[in-house]
Amino acid sequence: MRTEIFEKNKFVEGRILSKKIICEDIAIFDILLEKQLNARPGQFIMLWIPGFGERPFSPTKIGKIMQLAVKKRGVFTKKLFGLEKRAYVGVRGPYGKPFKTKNVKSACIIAAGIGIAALVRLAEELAFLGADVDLIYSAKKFKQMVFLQRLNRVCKVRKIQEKKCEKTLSTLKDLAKTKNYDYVYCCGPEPFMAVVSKECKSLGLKAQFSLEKRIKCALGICGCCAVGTKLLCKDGPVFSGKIAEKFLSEGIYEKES
Amino acid sequence: MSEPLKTILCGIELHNPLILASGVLGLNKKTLLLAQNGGAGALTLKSITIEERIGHESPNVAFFEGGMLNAFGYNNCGLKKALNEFHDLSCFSVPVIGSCTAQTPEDFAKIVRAFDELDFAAIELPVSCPHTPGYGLLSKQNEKAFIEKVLRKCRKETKKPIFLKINACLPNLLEIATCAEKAGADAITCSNSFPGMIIDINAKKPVLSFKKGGVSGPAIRPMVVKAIYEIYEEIKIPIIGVGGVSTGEHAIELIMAGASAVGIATGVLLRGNSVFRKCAFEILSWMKKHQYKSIEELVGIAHRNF
Repeated sequence: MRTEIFEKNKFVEGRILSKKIICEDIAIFDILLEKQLNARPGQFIMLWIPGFGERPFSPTKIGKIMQLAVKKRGVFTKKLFGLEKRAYVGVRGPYGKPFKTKNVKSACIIAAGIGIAALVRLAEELAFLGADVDLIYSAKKFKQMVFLQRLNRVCKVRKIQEKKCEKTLSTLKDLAKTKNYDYVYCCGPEPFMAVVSKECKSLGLKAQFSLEKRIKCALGICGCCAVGTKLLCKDGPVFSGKIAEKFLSEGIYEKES
Repeated sequence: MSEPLKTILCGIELHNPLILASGVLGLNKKTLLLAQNGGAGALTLKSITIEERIGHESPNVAFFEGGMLNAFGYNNCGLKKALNEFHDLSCFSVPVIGSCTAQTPEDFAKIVRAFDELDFAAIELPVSCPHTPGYGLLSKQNEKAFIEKVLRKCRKETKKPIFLKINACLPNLLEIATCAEKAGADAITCSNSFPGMIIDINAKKPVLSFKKGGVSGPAIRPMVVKAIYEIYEEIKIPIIGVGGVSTGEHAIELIMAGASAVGIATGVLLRGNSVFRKCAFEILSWMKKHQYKSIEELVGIAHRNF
């Protein structure tokens, strides 16, 4: 019997090493782990603030020092921003299905806002595998953008400042005229991804999306993150094709306080 | 599924005795279907309450070498939405057991009355949750007087079989089982998860946000086997054994103690949604090896003198 699954899901001790403030509501956290956790691009970990709560995050670096890029947007992230240096956090994972990167020669990554957190390691992996990568990075303000140096090293970055997504769509259309993308990868607010999904469909591009929903057990047993017959924590969070189209057109994200 | 595993539980025909226990994958029809596709002989809903409940703040699960601890706090969509969700059960080829819980006997009866209209094969009433204020062990629903009231009221509302889900950790277990039988329960589900706590020594805090939770998994199986063994000697109604089962051999152990059917919950985590099919296969292999033709022959066999 695979009872080691119980051991594997215990929290690993983490200590906040540093918090680098990017702008008023975005920060990058370095967390020193007692034991390294591996996560492929697209997978997530569960971060626990003892006595407070637990939420899923996509690590932007893995290793003995795990890195998270976080936007302050609810009670949990507010609490996280307020943690002192050396504060204890628990980490378990990795969970979920990663992005598919096999045999990808050419790709377009589309990030909106903090959605870049789920995509930065993907850009690096694709480049490492020899793919030609374009990245469209949309944000409300340029100063909210993170990882530009890292991204510039591995792909061609097109920075876009916009409120919605018009410029992103026109950029994608222009790029698709000359490029032959195997995949479009996208992460951002749900309405943004919904529009990108529609555009990809009309351009005939295959796309993968990293979706978001409140996750509780992360193990596919409680059923709290069910969308249709899929469990977001186990079958996702990355979805592609018709399933992604359906989820995005109907909307699955529930905002929390 | 082969005939040797056919089980009749309170008149309900199951193609195998392995039931998806309440709490796992039971929030809606689509997730229940995952367990049906995994080979379950019957499916139990996650318990429905009158009003919608968000449940406890996460972490809702914690782990240790012997299993896991959970405290979800009866998160569910509430009776109104549940009636809508489970109105049409035609997508299921196996029996579906409605599970509901409430704070008062009157509210239990109210949900049972509503459930009676639907196509549930049976109704399960947990009075044994270890981690939700107002319910189960935290509200003394395990006391004889309360159980009697609940069963008498619910009995009037439905002719469907009623399963009472109790907790094997209770010292008055046998008294409760006997009283439930007298008050009209058709079967006893034993057991719910055991009250427990896990403290992260580096954080110096309980892991679960609710602090206390229910222990499940391999660690509780010996306690559940003993409880089933003892209850079997006291009552005539069937027992649905639940606790620490993830292989066919585990299921056989509970059946030999006296269980007519066996629930699986944490086992889904250990072996995936197809844990039911895997266990059924393992039971069949064991029966073949030991020349048993019907699973029924094994029920309570550990009590017999050879």
